[in-house]
Amino acid sequence: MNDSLHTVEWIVEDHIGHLVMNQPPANSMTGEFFHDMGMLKKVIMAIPDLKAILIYGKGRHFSSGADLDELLLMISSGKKAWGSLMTNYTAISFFESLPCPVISLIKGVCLGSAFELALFSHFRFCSNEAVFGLPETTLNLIPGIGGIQRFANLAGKATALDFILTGRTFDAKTACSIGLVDKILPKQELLIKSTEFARWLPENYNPALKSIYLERYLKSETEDVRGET
Amino acid sequence: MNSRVKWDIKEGIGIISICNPPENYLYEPEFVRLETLREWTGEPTLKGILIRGEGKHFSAGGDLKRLFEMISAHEDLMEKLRTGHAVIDHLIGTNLPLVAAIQGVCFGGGLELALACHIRVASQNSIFASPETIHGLIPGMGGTVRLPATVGKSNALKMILSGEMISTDEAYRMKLIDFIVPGTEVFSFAFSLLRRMVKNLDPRIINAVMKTLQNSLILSPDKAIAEETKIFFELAQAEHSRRLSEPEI
Repeated sequence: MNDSLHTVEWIVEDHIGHLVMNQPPANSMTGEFFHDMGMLKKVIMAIPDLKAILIYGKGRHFSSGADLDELLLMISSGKKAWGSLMTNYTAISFFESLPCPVISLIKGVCLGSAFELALFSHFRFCSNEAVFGLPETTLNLIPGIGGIQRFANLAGKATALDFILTGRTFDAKTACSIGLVDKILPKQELLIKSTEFARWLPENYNPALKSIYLERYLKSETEDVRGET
Repeated sequence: MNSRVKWDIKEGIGIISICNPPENYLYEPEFVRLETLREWTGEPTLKGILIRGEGKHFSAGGDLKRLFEMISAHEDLMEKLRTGHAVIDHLIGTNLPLVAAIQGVCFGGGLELALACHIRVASQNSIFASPETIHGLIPGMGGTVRLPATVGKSNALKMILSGEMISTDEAYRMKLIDFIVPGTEVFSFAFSLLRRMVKNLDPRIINAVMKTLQNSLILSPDKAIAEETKIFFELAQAEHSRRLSEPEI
C-alpha cells in the first residue's frame, strides 16, 4: 500500500501486483489519476520480482475513461499542456513493455482512455455485462493514447475503423469475437480466475507466446498441464 | 484517358469507378491522372472514398500490351511507375477511409489498388490473383509490401510466386477481404458501410483518425506517439473553444 496515492490502490500480494482504480463508481481517469500513475510507474518498474500485475476498478466498473471537462480545461491552459498529454501517455503505456504479464480485469464500463489502458495490457478478461467503446470521435476528438493503432492491430483495420468512427459501444461477446478480449468469465470469478491464471503462467513468461499460454491454461482447467514451455 | 476512370460524389462519399470494360484494365500505372485526382479529392466536404469497377469486374490489373508498347516506344516507364505510386499515395494521403467494392476479377494492379484501401468488400464470385511473376514481372504498385502486411508473408509469397487464383472464401480466410456479400449487393453494401461510419462526423475528425492510423504504420513508435498527441491536443483545443462559444443549455 502506498499512502501518497489518492486515486489508485497498489497492493503486492504474493508477488502479484494489484492496481485498483479507486474513484468509484466511474473510476474516472482524472489529472490526479495520471499523476498517481506517473509515480506508480517508477515504483512498479523498480520491483524486481513481480510475477504479474492485475488492473481493475473498484466497484461495479472498470473505468469510464478520462475526465473530459478537466482535460479540456487543462489543454486550454496553453502549450505546456502538450507535454502533460505526453506524460499522461507514458504514465499508462509502460505496461505494454513490462517483462511480467499484465492482465486487465474488466467489468461494467470500459470506455475511452480506460479501454486504451486495457489495450496496453497483455491479457484482457471481462465479465458478461462489460461494455466497451472508444466514443472520442462523437465528442470531436480521437482516441489519443494508442487506442486506434492497438484496436486495428487486434481486430483489423475494417472493424477498428467501424467502431472508432461511429464511436458506438459494444458488449463482451463482440469484444471477444473481434479479438479484443481473451476470455469472458463470470463476474464473481473474475479476480479469482485471473489471479489463478497469473500464478499459473511460467517463470520464463514471454509475451509473444500469449495465445499458447491461454490455450494451455484453458486445457489445464480440465487436465493437469503446466505452463512451463 | 480520363474517361477510363469516372468520379462521382454521393452523400459526401467520393466514388472512383474504373471504367475500361470488360476487364477494366488499368491503362497505365497512372490509371487516373494525378492532377485530375487532386482536383476530385480537393472537395473539402468529402468524408470517404469508394473504389469500384464498372460492369462485371473490379479490375484485371495493368494492361500488359500497353506496358510493352510503352517500352518499345521508349516512353519513360520509370517515371510512369513513379506517378502510379504517387496516385496511390495521394489516395492514402487524403486521410479519408478508402473502401474497395470488389466483384469478378481483382488481379495484379487491381489487387494492389484494393490493397491500398482500408476496407475490402467482395462479392461471392470474386477471384483474386497476383499473376505478375507468370509474365516475368513482379507486383510493381506496392503489392510486394501491402500484400504481406495484409495476409502475412506465407500467404503473400504463395500468391505472388505461384500467381495462382484464389477464391473469395480463401481470400476471406487469409483476411485479404473483410466482407463477403452477394454479387448484386457489393456496391450498396460498401457504400452503406462507409456512409454509416462517417455520416455524423466532421471531415476534420475523420482525417485525424485516418492520419493517426497511417502514422502508426509508417512512423517509428516514438514519432507516432508524438504525432498522435499533437493531433489530439489540437482537436481538444478546438473543442474547448467550441464549447466556450456554444455554452450548454
